[in-house]
Amino acid sequence: MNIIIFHVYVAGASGNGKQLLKLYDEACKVCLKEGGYRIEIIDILKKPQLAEKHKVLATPTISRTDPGPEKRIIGKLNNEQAVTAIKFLTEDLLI
Amino acid sequence: MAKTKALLTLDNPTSLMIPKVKTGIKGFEEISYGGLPRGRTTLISGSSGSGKTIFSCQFLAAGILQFDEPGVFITFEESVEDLKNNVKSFGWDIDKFEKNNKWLFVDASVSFNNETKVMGDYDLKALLIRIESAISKVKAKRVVLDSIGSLFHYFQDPSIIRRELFKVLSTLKRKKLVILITSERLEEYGVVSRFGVEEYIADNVLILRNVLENEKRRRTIEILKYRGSLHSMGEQSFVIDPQKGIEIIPLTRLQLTQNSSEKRVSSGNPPLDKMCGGGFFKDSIILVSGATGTGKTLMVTEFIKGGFENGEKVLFVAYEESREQLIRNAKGWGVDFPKMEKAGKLLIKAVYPESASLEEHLLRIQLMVEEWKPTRFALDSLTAIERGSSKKNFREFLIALTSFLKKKEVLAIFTSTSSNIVGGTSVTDSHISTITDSIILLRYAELYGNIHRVITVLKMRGSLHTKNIFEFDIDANGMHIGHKQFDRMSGILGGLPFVSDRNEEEKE
Repeated sequence: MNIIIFHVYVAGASGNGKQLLKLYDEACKVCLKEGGYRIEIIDILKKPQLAEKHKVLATPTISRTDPGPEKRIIGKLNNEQAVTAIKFLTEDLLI
Repeated sequence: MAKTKALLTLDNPTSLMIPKVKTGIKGFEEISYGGLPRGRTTLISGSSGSGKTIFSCQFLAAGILQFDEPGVFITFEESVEDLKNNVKSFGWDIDKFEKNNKWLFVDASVSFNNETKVMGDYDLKALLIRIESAISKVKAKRVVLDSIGSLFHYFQDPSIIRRELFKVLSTLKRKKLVILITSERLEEYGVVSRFGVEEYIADNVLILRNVLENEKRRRTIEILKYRGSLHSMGEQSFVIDPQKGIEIIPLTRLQLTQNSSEKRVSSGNPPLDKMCGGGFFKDSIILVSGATGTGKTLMVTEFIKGGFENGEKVLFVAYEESREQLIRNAKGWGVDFPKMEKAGKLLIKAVYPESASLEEHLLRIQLMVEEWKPTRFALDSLTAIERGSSKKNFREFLIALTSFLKKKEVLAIFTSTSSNIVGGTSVTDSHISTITDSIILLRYAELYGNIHRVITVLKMRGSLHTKNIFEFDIDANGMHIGHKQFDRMSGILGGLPFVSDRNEEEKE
């Protein structure tokens, strides 16, 4: 089966991209198979065209872009919430 | 800081004039004393269908077409495709604007589904970055956010949205843009905006209304708040023209600055000219009042004939009778309308009064006068057009029409039907008599079992006129005002004259 791709949209360095990558990676480890997912941090300050393309309004936003359909979670989360978020984003997939 | 404060006093009204940008929306500059302020946000609040999106699109389109000011449209609700289609009829070719790099959409429409959840605090930087990127791409001067209500639906917690929107708008304001945001309200009168916070993030608030008044729809715009700037108060009528979009009719801003002419022209009836002291003033407004069948339409017909004989162009708007009927009537009085039309001197427009709102009727007349440039104008009758409108609305219509005609220096005649067969005045007369320059009364009077028609000039602004009451007859050559003055009669205008023997009184 294809791997699951998450996009994490942040705005500039203050968006703490690295921290978010760590947060969601740990959450994924809890509920997904190792190697079954990939998390991409997208800095919309550097790539505004991607924010436009994916119609992102708020940061931080994590979205499951592949496989479709897209699902999103908006907002700053703690570890526990991050796990809930990953579960919500993948609940419709057969894992 | 103290200095700014001191400047913003009423003692120095010019300092209240913050730089404003012409919107290009007809009439808006008049009611806002110059347009929308630059570097500020203006909220348009209105119920669904009140014209918010049209106003916004027109603001951008007019900016591009009239002032070469590019714009960015951020849509939160409608899809870009729907928007383009909805405004296509107004002649705003958004595809072309986009191709020429004058208009850019930011599609922030969010779908309401269960695929997105808000779990924590967030900011709207992504939105801001997208807007900023669009602004720099087209070098935008105008920005529209339509409509921010959906953000509140989407993100729920209004306090965060309020904070974040405030940040977005402050950034945009620093760029010296003119910012327009729209928001929906549920009632025509009541709280300004649906979520109760929209008006606090804006410097200025406009309200668009679409109210049912005497079974007729009436659209109005009101400037509720214009921070640090003068503006007109109260509701102003506007229409949405299917070809040109929004046109505001700024009634309360009309000023009586017209010059009045001393030149006189013929009414088309020499004895009547004599009664008026030598004819009508060239740019005056005449009201002819009378019961049904007293000869009002005849007087209009003679007025048209008088214009034609003087080499003038006449516009005749009829709300009571069809074109054919009017032509036939005129023929019966020896006046040849088709000949005048062929000569390009007469334009007859027979219109059903119910076919449009008063504002639309007004705009049609204005358009015809602007395009065809008549020097005489006849309207038959005000009573027909007054039906079904509120008193206030009708009065505003009349003020707007008369001041427009005066500005254009058009001599105009209006008719009004009094409800009583004998005597009395109509409701119409009471509210329009102050607006017109001259009033001519046509009345029936019963005398010894016969009905007589009588005429008198009740008012003639700026001139002497005869105060006598004359009898007149109507035949195949028109109206004949006789010499018979009801010298020994009283109560003629009341319809039931009686002989008062003056000699008897003098003797005593």
